[in-house]
Amino acid sequence: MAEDDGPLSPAESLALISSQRARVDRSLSPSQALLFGMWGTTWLVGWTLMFLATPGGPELLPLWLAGVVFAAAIIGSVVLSTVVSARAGRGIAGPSRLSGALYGWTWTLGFWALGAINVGFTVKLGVSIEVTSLLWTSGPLLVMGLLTMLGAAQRRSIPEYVAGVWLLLAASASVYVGTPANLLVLAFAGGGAMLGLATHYARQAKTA
Amino acid sequence: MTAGLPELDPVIHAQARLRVTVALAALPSGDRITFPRLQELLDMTAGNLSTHLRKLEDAGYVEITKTHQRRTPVTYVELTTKGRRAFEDYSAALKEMLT
Repeated sequence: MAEDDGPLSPAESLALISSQRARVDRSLSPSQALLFGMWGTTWLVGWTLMFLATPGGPELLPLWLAGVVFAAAIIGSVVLSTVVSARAGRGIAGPSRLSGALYGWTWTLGFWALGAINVGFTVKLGVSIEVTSLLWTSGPLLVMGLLTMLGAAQRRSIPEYVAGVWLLLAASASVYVGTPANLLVLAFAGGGAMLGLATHYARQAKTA
Repeated sequence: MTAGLPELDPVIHAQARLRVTVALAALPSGDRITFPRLQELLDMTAGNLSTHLRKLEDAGYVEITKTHQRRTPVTYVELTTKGRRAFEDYSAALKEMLT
């Protein structure tokens, strides 16, 4: 942009304020379209593979293969999310950094606790594969739904809140659908909600 | 306020300083940004940015803190409460002129 310091008309000033603001906001916050798009894809592909591999389902590929691919996609998404967020927050210090870090850790700790609880049920109570499967679909959808709603409250985003409510409905529905179709609820309702949000944010970024 | 058009703050009403102010105002209140990151956001030369920051600092709109992180000097810039208010007044005055 030119460093021209000529006098500005009020209309030019207002236009400059909004264009500069949009540019700064884009650079300071990680792309929501990218983050939701990436996680939506991981979720959709990963759980669909799990469905295709699960015993009692179509069994089109070995369960270990689906598990390895899904785990790799999750690790990749975690790494990329961390990099993208760190890049956006480069050179910024102050209270918003703390709130961002606390928010990020809430997701991580929430999923760690959920994992521990689900493994605990399997190991301590020896629950059936069916119950295990239902635990692993309803739990993540519930945690994701609640945290998405919390993020929506913070960002004052109604579309994000609606996606959160949808995830809660999907969490409840997945249990009633039963196995192995619950994995498809997780893939399409869960991944679909995130991909829908990605589209929403991509469209918003284009008009900004 | 007297009748007629409001005055525009001359400290902010200059293209480069307006851009600096907008970038700083985009940060949540209380947050600070390093000089190089600000420079990157604005795509300005270091000399140019320093000159404009000094004028904003003289007006009390910007606070510049020099500190060290692992022995490397770091310069942080933030908009003061006075600066934030001045920017709000400036934006309000612009809107008033256009209505």
